[in-house]
Amino acid sequence: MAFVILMIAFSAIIIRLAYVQLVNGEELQAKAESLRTRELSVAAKRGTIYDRNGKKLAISLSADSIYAAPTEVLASGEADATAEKLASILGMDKETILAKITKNSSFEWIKRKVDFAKSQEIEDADMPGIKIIEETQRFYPKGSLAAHILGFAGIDNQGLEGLEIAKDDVLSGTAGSIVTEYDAKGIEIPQAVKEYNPPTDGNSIVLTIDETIQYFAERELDNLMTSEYPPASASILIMNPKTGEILAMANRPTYDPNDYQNYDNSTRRNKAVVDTYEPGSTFKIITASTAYDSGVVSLSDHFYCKGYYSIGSKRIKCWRSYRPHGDQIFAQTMQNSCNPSLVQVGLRIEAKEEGLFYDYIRNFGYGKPTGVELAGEAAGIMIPEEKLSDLNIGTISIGQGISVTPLQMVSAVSAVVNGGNLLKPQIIKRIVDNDGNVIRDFQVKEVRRVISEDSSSVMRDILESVVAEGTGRQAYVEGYRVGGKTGTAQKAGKGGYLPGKYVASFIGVAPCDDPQITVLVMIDEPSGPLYQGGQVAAPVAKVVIEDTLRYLGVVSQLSNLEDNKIRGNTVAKKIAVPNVINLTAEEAEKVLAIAGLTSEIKDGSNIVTSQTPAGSTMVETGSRVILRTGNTTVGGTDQITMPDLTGKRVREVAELLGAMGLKLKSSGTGIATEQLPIPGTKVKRGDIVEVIFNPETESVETSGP
Amino acid sequence: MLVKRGKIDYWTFLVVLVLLGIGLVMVLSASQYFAQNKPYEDSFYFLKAQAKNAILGIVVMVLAMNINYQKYRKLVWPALIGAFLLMMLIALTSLGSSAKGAEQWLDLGFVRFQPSEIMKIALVLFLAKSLSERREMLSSFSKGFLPYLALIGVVCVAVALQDLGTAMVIAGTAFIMLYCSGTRPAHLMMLVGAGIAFFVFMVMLEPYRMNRLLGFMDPWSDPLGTGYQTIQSLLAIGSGGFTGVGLGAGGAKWLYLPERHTDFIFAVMAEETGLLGGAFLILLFMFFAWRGFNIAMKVQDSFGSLLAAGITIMISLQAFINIGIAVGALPVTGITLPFISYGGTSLVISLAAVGVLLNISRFAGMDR
Repeated sequence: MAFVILMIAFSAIIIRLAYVQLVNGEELQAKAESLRTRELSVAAKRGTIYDRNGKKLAISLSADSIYAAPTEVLASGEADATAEKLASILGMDKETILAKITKNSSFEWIKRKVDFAKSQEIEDADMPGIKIIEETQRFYPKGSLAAHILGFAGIDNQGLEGLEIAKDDVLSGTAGSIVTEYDAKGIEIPQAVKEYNPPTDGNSIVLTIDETIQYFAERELDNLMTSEYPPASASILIMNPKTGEILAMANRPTYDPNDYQNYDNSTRRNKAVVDTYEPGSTFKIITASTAYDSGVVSLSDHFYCKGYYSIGSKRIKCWRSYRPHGDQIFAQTMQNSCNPSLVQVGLRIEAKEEGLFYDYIRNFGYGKPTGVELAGEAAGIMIPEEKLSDLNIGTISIGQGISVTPLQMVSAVSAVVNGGNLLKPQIIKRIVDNDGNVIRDFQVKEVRRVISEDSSSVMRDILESVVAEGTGRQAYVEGYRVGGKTGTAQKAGKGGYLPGKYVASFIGVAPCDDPQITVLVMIDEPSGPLYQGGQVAAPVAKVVIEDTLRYLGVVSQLSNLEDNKIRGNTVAKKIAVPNVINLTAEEAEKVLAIAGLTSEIKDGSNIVTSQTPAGSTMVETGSRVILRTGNTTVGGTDQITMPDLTGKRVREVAELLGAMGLKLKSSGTGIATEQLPIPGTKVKRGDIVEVIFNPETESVETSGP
Repeated sequence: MLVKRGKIDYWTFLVVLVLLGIGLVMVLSASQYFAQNKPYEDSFYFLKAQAKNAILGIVVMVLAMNINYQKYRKLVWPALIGAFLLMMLIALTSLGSSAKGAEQWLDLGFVRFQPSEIMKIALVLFLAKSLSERREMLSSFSKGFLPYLALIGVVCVAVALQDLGTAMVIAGTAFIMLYCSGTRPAHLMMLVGAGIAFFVFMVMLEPYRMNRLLGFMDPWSDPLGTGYQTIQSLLAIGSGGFTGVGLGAGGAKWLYLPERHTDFIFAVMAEETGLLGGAFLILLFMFFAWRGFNIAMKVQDSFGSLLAAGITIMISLQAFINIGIAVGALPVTGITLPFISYGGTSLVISLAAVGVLLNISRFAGMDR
């Protein structure tokens, strides 16, 4: 009986043993292992960030870090000597080190990412419990170039800003580990198996950014910030309108990601993406596109500017209300950046169908983030549609009362000129692994069609005319068909617009027949006497556009200067060919150039004896006139034909008459309305020509917002 | 009385040698990390010491195997009194050298041992003789049961003051021996009641015992205090799984598991050899118990029979309690695993007892 009880007791214990080992085993084993093992993480090498041509913008270098296993230091009994030696090698305080290496812990950093020479010295010194581990350190070889795009990574190689944080999962890889076993007193078990799990290095990112174009943008911003009148901040954004690829994105103020700790947070804002602004007149591109695409205006429609436009009791003033634009056709309203006209255009859209304007605005991508692969993108601010008044429609038409990001602006204008498709802005071209295999290729992503091909083509012509004829003149690059629009928006603050604070911008497209780049230059709070987009932003854009087009190898269209669109009004304007017979070859060329024509001289003698087409023939601007020359005048020195001067400005008239050797006697200002002798009269060199100018008539303004 | 002397029970002999061998391997495995550090600085320190103990124990066992157990009848009183005096000596003098928890060692300069271990076998011897001679009086409470109860009670208290684990083994062994020799079950139930009362008293005397008790019931409630030993034992055993992590490859011996080569050596074995090894060891003890009870049943002489049963119970019960503690089924008390744990007195006494058991087996006609 006693035996049976004993056997049962023993059997019960076997069952209990089996329960502990088989049922609880896994859990207990995990606990036991975590109790005696400590995992030392081995950082993965962070992926490289390249520009589109494979130039390295962010790389990872290896660096040695020094740590202590305090339990081992204490066991050795040499803590004091060790601290002293370390202090002298690392140039640190001995007491600080001593405190660290005698701490009640099994792992303590002493100094991270030290010079190789120092880590070598420490390795040679072979101090008990003092160990070296290889880590990687982020380095940005180009300094602050593209700093806002790249962002930076912290001491643990964790992404903190920019792409480094937005694409941390791609770049960081997976950390490996060294698992080491320790006894209950914290001493590393020498005979224990160390487990080494190698880290998986991060993938690399190839940006759409072109380092060289980025440099152009950075350089121009630097020039701007170091100029006599530096603005508060500024951004330049360059996009390929056909792909949505961002080629450059730069902001001022900026910082050096290698030394990010020493810069104020405000310098790290990627204003092109995270900040919004009221676009002002640049937004008229959207208004005009919408109007044309929805059929509420045609190119021949006339708009009258009396200096303001009333909506209810409110007046929206024209920027040139002191000298109203008067009657303009549609393209001219854009060239003049005429507020009352564009307000009328905007109201026409809304009159056609309520909500139509907002639909277009939203279709252009406003009011929500573009989805670019960058952190912290802003959505922009739009007045809620249900609260939208006619006055709001009016102000939005001229770019006030809507807040957008620079990126939204560039992406919308790219859609206007690329044939009408809104594309998702791309900052990443592809993601590649360590062996160069493409993990992901970012394709052109069409968001939606916004306007028709035809509307897009018309808009390109209109934008080109703004640069050729209108307010964007300062962005004109000789030899290239640049289009664009200026903008000068008052900055809103608490309780209204801030006096004297503006955002001046220029958004440009080039070349207009086949757009390769969309460029936005945004200057926040320009200081000094000039503040208009056409004055401060357009000249910056001109340099950037010129350098970028040359760099991209876009063929200069210098030889196509005669193309009617270069100088003339895009709305195919016919002019009468001046009669240049009996002028010198040099004079004739000048006269023809002033008239917007080109010339080709045959023979090479001094006096023009005949011309084709003949004087008074109606041709398109930019047409070529072939001149034949001889050494004698045809029919004497009084055989110069008086040109038609009406419609020309004072300076033009003076220039033209000067070129023909005639003298001007003028009266009045504005444009020429009457002349004596009348056109076609034969005159002699040195004759006096009387011209009456009249300010009442419409004129084309040459500078403005 | 004159039964012809036969052969010893080789199965018992063999199982003890196997246990001894396993013990040496496990002592080495459990102690080598501890031993390689100061002050020993010799991985084999405990193995060597235990091997000496084993050799001494085998010599004693072989001697005892060949000494007619009847001769011990005369030793009963001297052994009991001697053991009692030694225990007094420990309690009253400073000769007791302190080991963990309780003073239980007697250091005579040339040899250091635990008198409680001697008391254990002395009481078994006494009970075997006395019960076999007074069988007819056992049914009486006052003349039969009470004197034994008094004696056992005094012995257990004396032992328990120094070594609760051994006291429990003694009490359990005595209880079963009384039962085997025909004591009335009602009396035994009273004894159980008395035992519980005694245990409560002991707990009140030394509060740390209460903590051990609580620690056993929910070790995770105080993982660094009372539950520490049980938790570490369970972590080790659990890590073993079915086949174990491999001999020498266990992690518990890296000073996590206390008493790793003595009281908790079973946990080391279960970790390194898994359920296979752990269950095999328990089966060996079960086999040993089976052979021991067989000898006790077959011996005609009632003194021999009771002595064999007492020795078998003493060893099996100790194994049961030790393993029960290791698997968290019993509260923690310091008690060694017979033949396996490191420790001279325990091993030599156990082997001596087995020697006596083997001598009895010569008269059991096991081959019949």
